[in-house]
Amino acid sequence: MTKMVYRGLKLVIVLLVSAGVLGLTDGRDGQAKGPAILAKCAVCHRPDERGRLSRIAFQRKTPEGWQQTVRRMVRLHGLSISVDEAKAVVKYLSDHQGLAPAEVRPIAYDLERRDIIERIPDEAVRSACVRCHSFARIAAQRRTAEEWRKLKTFHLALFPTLVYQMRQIDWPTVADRAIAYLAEHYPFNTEAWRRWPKTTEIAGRWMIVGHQPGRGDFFGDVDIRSLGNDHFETRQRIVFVDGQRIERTGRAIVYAGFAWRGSSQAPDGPKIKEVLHLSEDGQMLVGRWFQAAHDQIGADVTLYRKTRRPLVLGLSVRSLRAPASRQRVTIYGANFPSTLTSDEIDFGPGVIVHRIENRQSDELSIILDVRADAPDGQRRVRVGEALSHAHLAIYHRIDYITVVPSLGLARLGGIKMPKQHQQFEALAFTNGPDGLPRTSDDVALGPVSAKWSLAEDTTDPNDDDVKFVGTIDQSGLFTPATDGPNPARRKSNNNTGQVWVVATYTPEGAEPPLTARAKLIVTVPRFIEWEIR
Amino acid sequence: MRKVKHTRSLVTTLISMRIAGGLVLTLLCVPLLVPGSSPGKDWLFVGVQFNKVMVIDCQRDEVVGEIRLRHRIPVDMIVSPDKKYLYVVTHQKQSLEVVDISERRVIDSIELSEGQRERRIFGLAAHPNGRTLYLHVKTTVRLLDELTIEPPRLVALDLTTKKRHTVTEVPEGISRLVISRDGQRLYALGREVLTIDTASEKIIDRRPLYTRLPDGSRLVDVFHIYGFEDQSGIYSVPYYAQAGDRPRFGLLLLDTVNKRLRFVDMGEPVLMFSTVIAPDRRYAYGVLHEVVKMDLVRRRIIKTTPHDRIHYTLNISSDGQKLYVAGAGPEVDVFDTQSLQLLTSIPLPGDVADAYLRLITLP
Repeated sequence: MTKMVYRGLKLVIVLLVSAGVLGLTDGRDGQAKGPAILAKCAVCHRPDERGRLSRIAFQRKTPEGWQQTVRRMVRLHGLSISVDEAKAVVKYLSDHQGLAPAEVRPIAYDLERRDIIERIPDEAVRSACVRCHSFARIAAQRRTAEEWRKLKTFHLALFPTLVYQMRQIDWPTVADRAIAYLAEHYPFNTEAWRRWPKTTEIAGRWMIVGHQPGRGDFFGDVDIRSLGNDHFETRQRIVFVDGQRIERTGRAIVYAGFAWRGSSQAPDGPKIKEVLHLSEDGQMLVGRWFQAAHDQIGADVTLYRKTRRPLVLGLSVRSLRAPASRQRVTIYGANFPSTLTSDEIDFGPGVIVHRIENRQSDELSIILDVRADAPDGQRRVRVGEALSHAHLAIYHRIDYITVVPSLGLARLGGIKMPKQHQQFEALAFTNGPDGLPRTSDDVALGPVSAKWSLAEDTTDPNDDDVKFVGTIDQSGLFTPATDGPNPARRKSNNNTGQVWVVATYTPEGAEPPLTARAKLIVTVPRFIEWEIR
Repeated sequence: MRKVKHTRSLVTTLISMRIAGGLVLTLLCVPLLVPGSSPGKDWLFVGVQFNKVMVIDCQRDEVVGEIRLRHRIPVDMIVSPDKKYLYVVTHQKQSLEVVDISERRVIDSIELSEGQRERRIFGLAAHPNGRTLYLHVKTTVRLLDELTIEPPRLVALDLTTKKRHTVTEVPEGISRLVISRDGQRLYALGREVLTIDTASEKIIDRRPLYTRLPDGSRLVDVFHIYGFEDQSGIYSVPYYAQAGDRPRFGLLLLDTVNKRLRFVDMGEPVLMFSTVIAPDRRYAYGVLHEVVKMDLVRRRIIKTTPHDRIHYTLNISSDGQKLYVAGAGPEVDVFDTQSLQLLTSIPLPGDVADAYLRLITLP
C-alpha cells in the first residue's frame, strides 16, 4: 500500500514537473521541450534545466522511426496512449525532430518497402547492427554521441542473449566501433536539418507518372486539398497504358514539410499506401505506392506539380521498332494547347508524325512512322516547347532480355502470416553501337510480355524445391506456398527453397526465343513486422 | 649421415607417436571415477513447456511422473552432487527452483530479480560440497527513462543461508559454467574459457577460443549451450574452424576430472548443435539433422543416421547403450548407440524448449 502511495506521489511530482514545461515553445535548435502533446512522454522522460525531455530531445527520426518508438513504449514500458494521442506525438516529433530530405533520401527505399541489397558503408556497423536490422533502420536516425552509446547498452540490457547470437564476433567491442562511426556520420545536429524550412505548400493539382512492375506504366493527376495541420485529402485519376482507368480517394499527412504518408483506395480496389518525399525545390513528390496488405506489390511514382505550362509526362510505349508504319502512340501530359499541330511534335530523327488522331489537354493520340534509317537509341519527345520527362527508345532488334530483380525474395504465408509475393519483370535491350550485349552503350527498351516459369536451382542432389515453393503467373508475379510444416516434404520441411525464375520472350520475327533468369529465395514468414526493418 | 639422422628421427617420432597414442587411448579408456559409472537405474529429467519437468524411467523408456514448477519455461537444469535435488532455472531465467527428486516436487525457489534489477541466470554449476551453487548472472537495470546493465558476474549462492556474493566479474558472452569433479576449478565458457580457482575466487587462466587452434586452424564458431558431462566427466561442444580455405569441425573437450581442455579435429564439417561423450570416453555423439557417432581416438565420424526431425541436444545412458535425443518438439527420441537406429519415441505433454536432459543414475 505504502509502495502504491509512493508510486502515485512520484507520478504526480513528475506530472507537475512536466506541466512546468508544457507552455514552452520550441526552440530554434528544434529540440523537444515538452509541449502538452508530450505530457505522457514526460512522465518518464524528465525535462532538464533547459526543458529538454531526457532521451527524446537528443534523437531525430523519420515518422516511422518515432511510431516504432511509441509502439515500443506501449509494448515494453507500459505506456497507455490512445491512437489519436500517439498520432499527435509522432507528428510533433517528426516535425520537430525529424530528418531533412537529404537525410531521408539515402534510406527512402526502406520506408517505401523496397527489398534491395543494401550498401553498408562501415564494416563494424555491418557486423554489429546489420546482421539483425536493415542498415536503413540505423541510418534513419540521428542521435547525439551519448544517445548512440546508450543504444548499445539498451541492446545488451533488453536482449541479454544478443551476445550469444553474435558469438562469432566480440559484439561489445565491435559495437563500440560501430557506435563511433554512427556518432560521427549520423550526428544529432546537422546543417541539412537546421536549414530545412520544415513547412511547404503541397495542396493543389499534381500530375502523376508511375510504373507498376508486371502491370505497366500509368499516368494521371491528383487533386490535393488541405484539411489543415498538414492533413490532406486526395482524389486521383490514373490511366494505365493498356487503357484501364482507376479513380481513388484518400488521405495523407505530411511530416516535416516533405514526408508524405498517405493511403488511398478505389471503390473496388485494395487499400494503397503512399510513401512519397517532396523534392527540395518543392516541384516533385517521389516515392512508391504499394498495397497495404502486400507491400511487395506496388508502383514507382513521381508527382509533378501542375502549373500553367505544358507538361509531357510520358508515352504509351517505351520503345519503337524500326521500321514501322502507322503506329499509334499516346502522349500523356498536361496543358496541351488545342491549337497544337503535328509539326509541333518532335520524336527525333527518323520518326515522322503523320497526324494527331485524338487531342485532349492531357492526352494526344499520334499516328507516326519509324523509318528504317532511324538511329537506335534513346530520345526525348518534344511537344511544342515542352520536353518529355520520359525517354523513348528506337531499335531495330531486341538482342537480349534480363529479369529484374536478379535476386528475388518471397516469404511463405497464408496460414499464420500474410504471403510475401515477389514481382518479376522482363526487360529488353538492344546491343548498341558496339554490338556487344551487357555493355554500357546498350539501349534499354523497357518491359516485355514474357512467359514465366520456375526451374530448380539445384543445391543438393535431392533438391525438389520447385515442387513446393509456389507458383508464378504470366505477369511475373510469384505467389509463395503456405507457411508451416509440409508433411509431404522430407522432414516435414516448410515450403522454403531456392529456385530459378525463367522468362522466355520471342520478339516479333525472331527465332529462337530469348530467355533470362533470376534467382528466387522463398523463405519463412517475417513474424515481426516493423515500420522500418 | 643426414639420411641416417633423418631415419632415426622418423623412427623416434613414430615410437613417440605410438607411445603418446597408446597413452591417450589408455587415458581415454580407463574407467574414471565419474557418477555415470556407478551401478543403478537411470532416470531422465526433461524440462518441457510450459512449467513441468518430466520424469522418464530409462529402463522402460516411459514417462513415469511429472514435476510441476512454480514458474513457466524451464531453461536450464543441473543435478546436485548427491543426486537428491534438481536446480531448475525458470521465469525467463530470473528464478531458481529447487526440486526434491525423491518427492518429485519443488521445495524452494530463489528469486534473483528485485526492484529495478532484473537478474538472469546464464549458466550454473554445483560445487561438490553440496552447499554452493555458482551462477552466471546478467543484470538489466530498469531506470525511469533508460535500460542499462551491470557487468555480468559469477555469483556464489550458499544454498543453506541463501546468501549470495560476487565471485568475479566476467566479460559478456559467458553462457555455460562447468565445475571440476574435485570442485577446485570453475570454468566459465563463452568466447574464451575462464578458469576460476574456487578457493581464492580468482580467475587464474583465460583461454581465448576464437583464435588459432593447436592444429593451425582458426576457430570461427562455438556455442556453449548444451553438452552434459554427467556420464563421462567430459564437457563437449562442437566447434567449427577454418584451415586455410578448408572448413573443419571438431569437438572442444573439457575434462572435469583431469582439468584439461582439448580440441579434437573431426574433419569435414557436419552440422551439429550439441554433442555428448560416452561413459567409456572413446565415442562421442552429435545431433541436429542427423544423429552422428564419432570416434575420439581415430578422430573421425564413424556412423550417421538421418532423422526426420531436427533435435538440439542429447544425453547418454550410464551404460553407454542408449542415446536420448530431444529439443524443439514434444518428444524424446531414443537411439541405440551401436546401430544408431531409433528404438522408440517418448511423447511429452509439451515442447522441449531448452533441452536440458539430465540423466541420473540412482541405486
